[in-house]
Formats: sequence, structure tokens, C-alpha cells
Amino acid sequence: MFFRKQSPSASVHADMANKQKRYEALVQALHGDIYRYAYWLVGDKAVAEDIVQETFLRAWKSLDSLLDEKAAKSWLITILRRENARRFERKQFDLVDMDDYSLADQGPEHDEQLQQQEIHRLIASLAEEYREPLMLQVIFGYSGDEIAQQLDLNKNTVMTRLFRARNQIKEALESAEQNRGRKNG
Amino acid sequence: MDDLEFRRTIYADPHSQDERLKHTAGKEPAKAQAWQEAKQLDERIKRAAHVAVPEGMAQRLLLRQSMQEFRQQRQRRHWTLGLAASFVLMVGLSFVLWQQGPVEVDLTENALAHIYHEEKALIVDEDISLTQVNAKLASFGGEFTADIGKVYYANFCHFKHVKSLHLVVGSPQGKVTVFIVPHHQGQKTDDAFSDKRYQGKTLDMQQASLILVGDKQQQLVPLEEKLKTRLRFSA
Repeated sequence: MFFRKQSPSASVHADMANKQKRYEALVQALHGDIYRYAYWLVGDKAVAEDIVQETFLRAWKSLDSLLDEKAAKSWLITILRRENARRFERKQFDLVDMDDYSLADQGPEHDEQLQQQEIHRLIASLAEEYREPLMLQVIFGYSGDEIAQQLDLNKNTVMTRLFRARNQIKEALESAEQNRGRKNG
Repeated sequence: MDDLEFRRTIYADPHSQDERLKHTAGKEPAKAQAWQEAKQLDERIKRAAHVAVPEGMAQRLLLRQSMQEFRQQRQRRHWTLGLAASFVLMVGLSFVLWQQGPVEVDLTENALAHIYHEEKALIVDEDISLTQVNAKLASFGGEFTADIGKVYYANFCHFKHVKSLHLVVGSPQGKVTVFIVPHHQGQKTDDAFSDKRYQGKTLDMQQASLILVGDKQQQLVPLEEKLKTRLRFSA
């Protein structure tokens, strides 16, 4: 009668279990890179994790629409970018400084660590339009065509931005090197 | 491949598999060197980009999803439970209302209203025998065990959905209207009542109310006593 819940059929249970399995696989396989991408997008660890949480919740809700597992990466990136844009619609954030991933260990590789920190800072200081394609290439191994598709840009624009991004980092490193040389010499 | 194109290509994609790029690098050691440096820079960028993922994040993502799922299931359950509960409440309420009928009926008020409405009952003389009266009373399980005097009028009437008996009986001081109204939930009576023309008395008997209404100056008590002692209800 009214109080008795119709027990769902076995196939519904199987579907749910299957969905759960797909979701867990998706989380395990991609949460790291998606988080990294989010971090470089927003420059703040806590905000990045929030956005990743929202992204995966939305992914769960519309997991049925994801038919090809190979498309999962770009599907998640699209959701993530939309979540990030929504965050700006909700509230105009003050620009956050990139968190420093300070390195505690100051052993013999101290110089090397300082240089990595420098590169971290330089990536963070890139304009977003340069940083985003660079991170798609470096984190996800995307080709120029794939980046163009993901960001809805033309391929030449993407290649130019990738070049400028690396070129800016390289020049900044070189000028820092020269300064150091001058001080030391 | 000229210098500019070479530089643009190795910085845009240090791991490019372009044959022209390889060819140019093969011919010119300086370019090969620049390419090598671009690849090294890319390695360092990759390492810097590969920031540490907060510990336990995958577990938190899975937990949040399962909590959400759990909440949604509960909400779905609440929804159906709510529907069922309001259905039960509706059935219960209508059952109670159907049983009770109108909330409370003031019998004395009704009695007066009846008399004004059926004034002809006080005029006609149908000279009804005790047998006829008892035949009607039998439908409530009642009976007059002895003669009650002249009966001018006897008919069923309704006191707010309760089938009752309307009598006009003779008394030494003139006609008196008598109502016999079976007890029913939600009835309200006054022992004595009156308006500008009539006065009345109510007697609560075991299974029915006996309501007598006469003119202002009439003595109702003797008739009441007579009816009370002669009216019997079978259990």
C-alpha cells in the first residue's frame, strides 16, 4: 500500500552500482590533474579544492551523459571552467596571490629548489590567457588541436600563446640569472 | 625552417615531432642545443606545475557524493511519506466529519423554528389514534404505554438530519407541540427556553430528547409528567 516502498528492480540496482563504479574510477584517475588545473586557474589551494568538489558533484549528476570514457578529461575540464566562471558571477573576488609552495628542505639541492620555486612563481605570474593553454599542455599532455578545441580558440592563436608563455618564463629566468651573476661577480 | 619559426616551434611545443624541425636541428648544432634547452625548461615547468594534491582528496570527493546521494534518497522518502500521511489525514478527517455531521445543533432553537415553519400543524385536526402515533414512534424504538390524550397532528420531521417525531397534543390549557428527537452526537439542549410567543421545556430521556413547546401562559409540567411516565424505549 502507501507505506511500502516498491523495491526497485534488480536492473536499477545494477545500474546504480555501475554508475558508482564509473564515478569512483573517474575520481581516482583524474582528481589529481583536475585539482592541479584548478589550482593554476584560481591560484589558491582551498578555492581550488572547492571548485573541484563542485565539479565532481556536477559530474556525478550528469554522469549518464558521458558516453565515451576517453572524453572524460575534456568533459571534466569543461565543467571545471564553467564552475570557475560561475564563481566570478557570484562574487567578484579580489585577485588572490598564488600560494607559495614553500619547500622546507634546504639540503644540497637548495639551488635547484629555489629555481623550481622561481618557476612556480613565474607560471603564476603569467597572464591567464597564456597560463591556461600551457597548463592544458603540461598537465594533460594536450596537443595544440586539443587545446584549441577545449578553449574554443583557433590553433594558431593557441600555438602563439604557448610560445609566449614559455618565452616569458625563459626570459625572466635569464634576466634573474644575469642579476645574480652581476651580484656575485 | 628559419630562426624565428624554429624558435616559435620549440617553445610552443618542445616535444614536437615535426620532421622539418628535426631536419633543421640535425644540420645546425646551435639550434639542436636551443631545442635541448627548451626541453629542459619544459621539464622544469612540468615539475613546477605538478603541485601536490591535498591529502585524502579522492576520499573526500567520494564521501561528498555518497552523502549527497543519501540526502536525496531521504528527501525522496520524505516526499512519499508526506503524501501518504496527508492522504491518511484527509481520509480520517472526512470520516470523522461524515460521522459527526454538522458540528453542534441547538435543538431548542430548531424546535421553535420548526413551529413557525409548520404553523399549519397547530391548526389542523387529524385526530390521530395512539396506534398511529406508536407506529411512528416504533421507528425510534419508542412507544406510549398508555393514552396521552387527543393527538391533533403527528408527522416525521428532521432536526438537522435527525429524523424526529413532531406531535401536537391536547392539554387542559390548549394545544402543545411535542418533539421527540433521538439522541445524536453534537446536540445541545436547554432545559427551558422561550421567545416572544412560545415557551418550552426539554427533558432528556434515555434515548431521546422530549421537547415541549406551548404558548406563554400554558402549564407544560403536567403534560411533561404524563408523557414521561408513558413513554418507553425498548433497549
